[in-house]
Amino acid sequence: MDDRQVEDILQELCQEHNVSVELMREMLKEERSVRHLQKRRGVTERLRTMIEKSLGVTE
Amino acid sequence: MSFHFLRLTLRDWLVYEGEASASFGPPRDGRNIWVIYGLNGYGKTSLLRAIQWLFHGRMPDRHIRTCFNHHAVQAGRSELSVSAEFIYNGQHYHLIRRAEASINNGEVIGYPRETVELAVDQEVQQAGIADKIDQILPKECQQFFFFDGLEIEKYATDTHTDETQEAIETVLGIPEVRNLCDDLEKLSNDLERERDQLLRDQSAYQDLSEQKEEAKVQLDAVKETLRNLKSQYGNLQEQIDRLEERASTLKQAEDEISYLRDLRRRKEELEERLDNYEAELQGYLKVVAQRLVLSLLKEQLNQLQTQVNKAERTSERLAHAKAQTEFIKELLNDASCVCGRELDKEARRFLERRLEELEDQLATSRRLQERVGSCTVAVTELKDLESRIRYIEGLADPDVIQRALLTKYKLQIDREELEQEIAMREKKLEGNEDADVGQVFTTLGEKKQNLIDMESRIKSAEEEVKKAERFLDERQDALNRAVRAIDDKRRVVDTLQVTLDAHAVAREMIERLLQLRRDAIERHMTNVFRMVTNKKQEYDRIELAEDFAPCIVTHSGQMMKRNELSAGEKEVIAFSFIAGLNQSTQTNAPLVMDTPFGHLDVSHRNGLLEALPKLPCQVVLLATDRDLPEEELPNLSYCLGGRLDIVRDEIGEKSRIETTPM
Repeated sequence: MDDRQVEDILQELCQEHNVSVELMREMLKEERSVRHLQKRRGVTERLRTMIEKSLGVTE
Repeated sequence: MSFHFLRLTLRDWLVYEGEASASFGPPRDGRNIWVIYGLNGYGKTSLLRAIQWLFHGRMPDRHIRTCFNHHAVQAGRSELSVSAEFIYNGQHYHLIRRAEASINNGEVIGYPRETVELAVDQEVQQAGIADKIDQILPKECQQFFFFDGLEIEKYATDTHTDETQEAIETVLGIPEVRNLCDDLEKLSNDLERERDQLLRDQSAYQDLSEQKEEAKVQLDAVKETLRNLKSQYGNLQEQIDRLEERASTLKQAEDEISYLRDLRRRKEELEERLDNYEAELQGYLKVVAQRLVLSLLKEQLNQLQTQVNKAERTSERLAHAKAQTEFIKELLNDASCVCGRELDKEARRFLERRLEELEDQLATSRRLQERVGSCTVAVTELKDLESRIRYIEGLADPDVIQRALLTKYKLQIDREELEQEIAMREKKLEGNEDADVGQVFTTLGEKKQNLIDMESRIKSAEEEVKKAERFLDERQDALNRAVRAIDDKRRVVDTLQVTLDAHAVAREMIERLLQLRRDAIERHMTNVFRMVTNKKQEYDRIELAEDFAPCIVTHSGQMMKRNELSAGEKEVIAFSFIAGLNQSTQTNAPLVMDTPFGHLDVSHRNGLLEALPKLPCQVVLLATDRDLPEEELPNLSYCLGGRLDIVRDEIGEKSRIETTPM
């Protein structure tokens, strides 16, 4: 299995659920960067910020 | 090959006293197999445990305090270490883990203190070493890379434990998607709560508006009260200031008032004296007038005295006339004369005329006598007046009058001076003289007490104001929240919707990835299995259950039951599973296998040896000559990276690792 397959799945599901592929990639990247960390504090807040940013919301 | 061991070094680790090093050299294309021979008890498993401990500080069946070399401890060496040099994604890593123990009487006591160091391209890492190691080789995955051949049979069981399943997912890169799914679920729950709160806040807007208006009215009322109190306080303070000033003035004016009162008393005395002099002078003036009428009075008195004297003489005549009258009347009554002869008519007429004359005289005398009586009174009065006049005459000396007039004039001047001084001092006192100083101080005390009471009331009112302001602020905050809620609700609802959608994507992605990876593992492990199994005619493939538990499927489509499989077959399934897992992941860590052919027959072993070179990773086989007879080694020469031997110094009771040239 290669990354191309993963990317295809991602695009297909994003299209199906009308979610930005970029947003999902960004969130997955965030999760990947903290997966090995002992503490994953603040991830939810950062995900929320990403989603709000994708909606054009600025604080 | 993204992960390749260059060298492993053990120091005072289990059977390895002092330093023992296994050198693998750089990766060589197509030669991924390294064989480390060692007899039972020489230190193959010790080497495997050292690698397991090195990365994550834990081993499946040992505690570090049992890993200190006995001779080293006896010799007083309290530290052991394991290090590895390896290449990972093109960078040179040097990882060292040490344990230092307390030693007493040749025994390790307590818990050793562990330290770990990591250098990447010779650069020592200062922080986050555990995270970096976990990034290279997740601790959950270690079991699929460094394992004992006799232990892997557990992967051929009917079901996997949650821990194994999680480890499998970690190897397959699922956790970040699963974590994203979990985090999005948590976020959606948070957002739903937030949305519900916003809805509540929004619905509370009307109530809050009313409460705020009430709070404003209440605040205005208490502020008005406070203003009034402060105004009253100011007035009271002014009154007190004035009273204090007045009290001070009165205190200072007390002597002035006393002197003024003395002046007034002197004025009153002076006026009394002036009145006396005035009366006296009036008396003098009367005397002067009386003196003018005195001569007239004297003349009148003389006339009256003459009349009195005349009346006295008339009285004598009156008495005589009365006697004559009485006598004539007797004669007339007796009708005879004293001489005895009878009265003739002529005599009688004479007598009767005489009687008439006497009676006229008598009447005149009586009237005169009455007048004399009046004159006598008048004379008495005049005499009295005369004596008084004569007395006053004596007093009405012109010198006396002049002195009296002068004295009166002086007294009048004194009075004017006094009046001027009194007026001046009255003006100076400005009405203070009538004030009651004691009353002023009493009033001042009362006012001050009122002021203290008012201060207390003002303080209470200020607290009321603060309380009301706080209440208003709270209502305002709540109202602001409600207003924001109206604005935020849309954003939260939108965010929630995207979160829910993203969660659905992540959830389905896990399923799709698992299926995809399951398919990949099935494909890879089937390939390996087909190379290794000795029942190629019966067994078609391996399928994975939901929890990744592998199951053999025959060519007829039958699912083989676990209890129908031999130990060797289970070991083959497990190895196939691990190999398939390794090929389905990008971790590509070396496979370090201890006695991998324990239960395998020759056919299986040969199949396995055929499969190993095809794995895309470094393979280190810790084998006995029974597992892998030396005469079969040449068959692997095409893929053999190197051979090492664990040798035992029986005299010194210690093992060491030697590289054996091929």
